[in-house]
Amino acid sequence: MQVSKSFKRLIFWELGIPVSLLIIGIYHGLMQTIYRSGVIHQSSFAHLDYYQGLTMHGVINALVLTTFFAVAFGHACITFYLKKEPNKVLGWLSFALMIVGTVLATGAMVSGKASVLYTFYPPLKAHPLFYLGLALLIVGSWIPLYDWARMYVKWKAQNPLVKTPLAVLGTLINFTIWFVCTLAVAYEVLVLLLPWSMGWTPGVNVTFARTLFWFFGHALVYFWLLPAYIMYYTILPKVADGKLYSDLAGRIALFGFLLFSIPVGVHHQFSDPSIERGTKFFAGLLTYGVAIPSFITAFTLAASLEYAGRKRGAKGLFGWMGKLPYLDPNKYLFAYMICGLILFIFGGLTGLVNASYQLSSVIHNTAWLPGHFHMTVAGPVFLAIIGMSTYLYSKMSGKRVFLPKVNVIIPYLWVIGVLIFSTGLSWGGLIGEPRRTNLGLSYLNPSNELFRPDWVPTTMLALCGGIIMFIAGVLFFIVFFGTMLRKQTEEGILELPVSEAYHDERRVPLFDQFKPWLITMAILIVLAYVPAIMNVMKNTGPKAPRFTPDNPVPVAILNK
Amino acid sequence: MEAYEQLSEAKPALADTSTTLEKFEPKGAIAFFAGLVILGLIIWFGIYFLMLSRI
Amino acid sequence: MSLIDKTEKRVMMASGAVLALFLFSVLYAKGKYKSDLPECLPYSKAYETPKVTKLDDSTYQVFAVAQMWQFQPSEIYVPVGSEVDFFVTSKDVVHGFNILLKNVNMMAIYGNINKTTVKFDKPGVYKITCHEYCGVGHQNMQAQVIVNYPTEPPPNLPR
Repeated sequence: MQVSKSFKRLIFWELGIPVSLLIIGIYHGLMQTIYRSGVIHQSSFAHLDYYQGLTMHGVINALVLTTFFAVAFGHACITFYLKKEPNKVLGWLSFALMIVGTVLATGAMVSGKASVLYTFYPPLKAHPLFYLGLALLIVGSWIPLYDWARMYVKWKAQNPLVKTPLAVLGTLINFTIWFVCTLAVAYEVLVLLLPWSMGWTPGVNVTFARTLFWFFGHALVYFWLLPAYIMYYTILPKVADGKLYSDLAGRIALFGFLLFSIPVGVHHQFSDPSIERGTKFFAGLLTYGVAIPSFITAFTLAASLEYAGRKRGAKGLFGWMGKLPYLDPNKYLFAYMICGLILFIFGGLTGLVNASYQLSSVIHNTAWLPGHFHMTVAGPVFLAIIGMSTYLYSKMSGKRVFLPKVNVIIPYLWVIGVLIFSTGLSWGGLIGEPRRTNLGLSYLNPSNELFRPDWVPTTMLALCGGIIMFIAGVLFFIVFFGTMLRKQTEEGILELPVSEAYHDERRVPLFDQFKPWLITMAILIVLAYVPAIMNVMKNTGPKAPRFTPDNPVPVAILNK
Repeated sequence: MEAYEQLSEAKPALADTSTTLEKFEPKGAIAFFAGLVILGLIIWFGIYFLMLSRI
Repeated sequence: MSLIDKTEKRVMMASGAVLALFLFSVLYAKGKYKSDLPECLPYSKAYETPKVTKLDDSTYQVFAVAQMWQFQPSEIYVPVGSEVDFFVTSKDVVHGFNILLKNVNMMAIYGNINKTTVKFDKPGVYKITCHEYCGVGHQNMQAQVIVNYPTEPPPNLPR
């Protein structure tokens, strides 16, 4: 469809800014594997400290890129399916807030005064502008939801008996999850951390802050994931020349995420003090609930792809797997999506281990964890983001993709890299390798008394994987920015592939409205989080003063 | 329903082949799903018994 | 006629069955082997003084305090077969307390007390690693539990 110049420009900025920042994010991804494997035994390289770079890697890749992309892709889905552009002023206001927030947070990180990692656990204190920047980024991303919800209500009033398009439903569900979960982190940042970091309040309840963070933190991973799921359900079957096996299954999965994304957050605190075992067990149980939508998705997508393969004449039980357009440069979105799915098989299954109560004691905070989430957020999420960024930019600017044959290879290279990388990390984690640690300075330094020869092969594997991932990342930048530099050859339009459904079930009112689901979601959140917060309030002691990463003495005493 | 279908038809089809399968049983997908479950059991119980061995 | 495709329905039931099996196994290990997550204790200042207490021949209590960038006590001697309660807290930022190749995996947090119990059946040196980023010296933060190995603890060391 035709869209206005202003809308195109908004989308280009929302795709281009985070992809540009991603250069720093991916650079430090590679650097970490180099430090960790003991190739260098240094605390910093090229004036960038290990932990400073690790903070940038997390904030840029997992918060900035994902949030900007979710907003841009949301704009695209809503506009394309409801055939109406969002409000111009609100769209740009949202972008402005997000960009100011990103600049503030990035500035704080570059200055070296916010090396607190992307989870910014107190009482490690960052520069106040780091917190303020993250808050602005989040508030900016709320604005489109308000606008889209208005558009949706209006559309629904005109089409009360039409099933809401799956992509619209998915976008609205995703941003509802996002809005609710970010309320907690906004409270943490604005009420607890910002005044404390300025020295206006003397202490912070650390476990309470962590609990608020993880109220947000696990829903965050579904906020990353749902844009990819929307693509899997509404785009993948089409680019494979097949049909979505069941439309209703998609709706059930999406509403499942709405219910379970937030109340499971306590499973990140299985190893925390002051939260009772019963509360943790309940969070683990609910996490099993959130696995079901992904199991449904795995089957539904396999069936959709089998349909595509059989239509192309595939025979036998698995013949369809060989008849899919893996390397077709014109259908590169297929390559990006199928590669994401391959990684998600392992990412999802390792996630089930993490959720399983005392199994967490084997893997918590070891290298297993980054091994796991590089097969989720750096798997389906990242590949969907970069593939769709290239697609949306190319379509909407009317420029052909630069080096199309390279473009279609990138996701396969990435998958190989991640599989090697995550094997190294997961295996390392099981033999005790910690995450978030500059191993090269001590554990992977043969001249240090803490040297661990048994961690050499695992960190070396991660290094090999990291190098391959880095090469794939560089190729992506060449394709993306190369496309940007090309001349416009076609009319720039907003167009998304639209899958038909094989089982296009009739409209079920329950799966075409929000109210009962929102009420159930609220009940589950109350059941999971009222006990958690009561435990924390009952069991925690004194509040913690501020500390900087370089000194065991609290900031307040140092300043005296 | 109609509006939704019109919406889909309004899109220029990418490269749709003309044939459609009328009778379709996703046998391969069922087998794939069974394989997925088995892989899940292997990974999960692998860690489970590792945990038990470290008690 | 049911609305959702019957295979989709079976997939949901199969997923539920797999998760039920996991749940059963978790509860079984919890019941039979007492394998569990850390225990939740209310805060008390008493735990902020590092010490090792021998309760009887095979039962020990360790009050471990994590701080930038060391654990105290940094060496803990116990005999083979002892059951040790670890009480963990932090004097400053968040630290991790992970005994490698044992199911001891806790966060050490200012103003909070974490507790777990573990039995050391085999002699050896068990490394305790900080696995949460705690500032510039994080990668040097390690302690150890020495279980009857290579010899009994030197007599001049406090137990």
